[in-house]
Amino acid sequence: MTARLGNVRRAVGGFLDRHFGLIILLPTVVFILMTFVYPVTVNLWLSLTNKSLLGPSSYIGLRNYVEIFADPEFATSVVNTLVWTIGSVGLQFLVGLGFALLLYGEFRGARLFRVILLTPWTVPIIVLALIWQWMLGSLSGILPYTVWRMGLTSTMIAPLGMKSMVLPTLILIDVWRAFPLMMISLIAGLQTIPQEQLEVARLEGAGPFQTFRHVLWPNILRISGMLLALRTIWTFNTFDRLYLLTAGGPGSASETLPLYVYKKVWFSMQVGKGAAVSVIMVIILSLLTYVYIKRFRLLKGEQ
Amino acid sequence: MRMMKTWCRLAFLTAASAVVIFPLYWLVASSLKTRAELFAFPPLLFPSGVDFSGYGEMLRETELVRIFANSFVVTLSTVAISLVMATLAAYSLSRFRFVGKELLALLTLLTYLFPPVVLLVPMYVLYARTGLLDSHLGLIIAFTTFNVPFALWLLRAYLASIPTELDEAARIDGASWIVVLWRVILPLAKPGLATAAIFTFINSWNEFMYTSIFINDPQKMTLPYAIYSFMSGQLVRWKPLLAAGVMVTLPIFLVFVVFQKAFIRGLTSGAVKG
Repeated sequence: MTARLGNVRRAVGGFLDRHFGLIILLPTVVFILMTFVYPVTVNLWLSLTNKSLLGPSSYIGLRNYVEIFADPEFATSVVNTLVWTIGSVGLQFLVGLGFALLLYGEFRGARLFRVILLTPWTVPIIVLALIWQWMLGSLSGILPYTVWRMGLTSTMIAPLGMKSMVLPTLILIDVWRAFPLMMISLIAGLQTIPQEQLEVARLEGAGPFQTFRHVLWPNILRISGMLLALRTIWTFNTFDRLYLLTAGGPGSASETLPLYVYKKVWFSMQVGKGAAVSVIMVIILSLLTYVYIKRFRLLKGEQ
Repeated sequence: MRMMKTWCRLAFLTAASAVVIFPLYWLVASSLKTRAELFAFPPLLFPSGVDFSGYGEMLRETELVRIFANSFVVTLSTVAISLVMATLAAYSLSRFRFVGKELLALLTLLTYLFPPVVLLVPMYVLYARTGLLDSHLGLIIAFTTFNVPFALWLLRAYLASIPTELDEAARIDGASWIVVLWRVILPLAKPGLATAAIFTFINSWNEFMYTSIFINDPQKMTLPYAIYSFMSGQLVRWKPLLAAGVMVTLPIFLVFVVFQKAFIRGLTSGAVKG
C-alpha cells in the first residue's frame, strides 16, 4: 500500500517537474482570461448596444460611436486628456531627470536626499487630494496667500475652481507626486554607465552639456523611452486624483476620458456609450504606445 | 572651484527638498493646530502648541480602526496573491520554451494598456451575478487583475538578469524545478520582489474607483473611500480630516522607509534593464 502511494507520489512529482514551465504559468493565464479577456469582450459587445444600467438592451451597430463623435463634451475630454498626459509626463520626466543628474553617484547625503525626494510618491492619493485642497483653499490656503503676498495675483485665488487654471494646477500636483519615480529610475539608469566612458569624456575636456549629450543621454535613452511609455499609459488612465480634486470641474474644464466614461456610465447610466468611449481610449493608447516603441526601439532585442 | 560646485549642489538640493516636502509638513503642522489657528489669517507657519483633539475626534466618530483593518486585509491579500502568480509566471516566461510563449507575454503586456475604467462595467455585471459585490474578495480579485501584469513584467526582467547557470547547476544536482525556484531563485530575487510588492501595495492601498462602485456597506469600506465620504459632506471638517490624513500616510511611509533600500535596488537591476 505504502509502496503504491509512493509510486503515485513519484509519478505526480515527475509529471509536475516535466511540465513545470506550463503548470506555473497556468494560474495567471486562467486568471487573466477570466478577469480580463472576458470583460474586455463583453465591453466590446456592450459598445454596440444601447444598454443602460437599468433595463434591457439591443444591438444598435455603431450608433454609439457616431453619437460620441458628435458630442462636444467628448472632444473637450480628448483635448484635456492629451494636455494632461503630455503636460504631466513631460514635466515629470524633466524634473526627474534634473534631480537624477544632481543625485547620481555617491556623495555625502546622496542617499538621504533620494529618500526625502521620494516621499511624495508614498502619499496615498486620498491624502494628496486632502493636502492640496487644504493648501489651495481660497480662504485659508497657504499657497493662494503666498502668491497674493508676492504680488502675483490681485486677490487670493482658488485655482482648482478656475477654468483657465485648473488643468495646469492638476498637472503640477501630479508632477509633485510622480517625478520621484522618474528620478529614482533614471538614477538607476545613470549608475549603470561604465566609469571608463565618463573618464574618456573628462580627458577630452567635455563640458557638462557635451557629457550629457554624448555620454549620459545615449546610455539612458532606452530606459527613458520605457519610463515615458509606462508613465504615459498610467497618466492617460488616471482617475483617482482628478476625481477627488475636481471631479472634472469646473464645468468640464478638467474632465479627461476616464472621468467622461465614469460619468456616462454611473451618472447618465449609458453603459453602451461608456463602453464605446473606453474602446476609443484603448485605440488612442495603443497608437501612443506604438509611437514610443518605434521611436525608442523598445522591442528590438532584450538588451 | 570643485568645493564651490559641491556646496552649490548641496544648497540647491536642500532648498528643493524643502519645497518638495513642504506639503507634508503643512499637513502635519495643520493637524496639530487649534481650531482658531487653523483658519488664522495670515496662515501660521508653526502651530503654537500640540493639539491632538482632531485625532481623537476622528477616532471617536468614525470606525477608523475597522476601516484600517479592511484596507490592510484587502491590500495584503492582493500583494500576496499578485506576487505568487506573477513570480510563477515570470519564472516560466524567463526560463522555459513553449509554443505561444511570445503571444502570452504580449497578452499580459496588453492588459496593461487597458484603462481600469474599461473593465468597470463588465466586472460589475459579473460581480452582481456571482455575489461578489460588497465583498473584500471582489476587491482583491479586481486589484489583482490590475497588479499582476506590472508585477509580472517587473519580475520577468529581474529574473532574466539572474544567470540560468545557477538553475542548471541545481538541476544537475537532482533538484526538482520547484526546489530550484524556492531555494535558488527566490532568495536572489528579493529586491525584485520587494519592488513589485511596494508597487502593488501602493496601488491597492490607494484604489478608489472600484471601491466606490463595488462597496456600499460602510462596514466593508476601505480608507480612501471612507475619507472621501467624510470629505464630501456639507461642511468640510478640516481638523479631524487633516488628522486622518496623517494617520493614513504614516503606515505606508513606514513600510517605505523600511524597504526603500531593497525597493531602489530592485528598480536598479530589474525593470531598468528589461
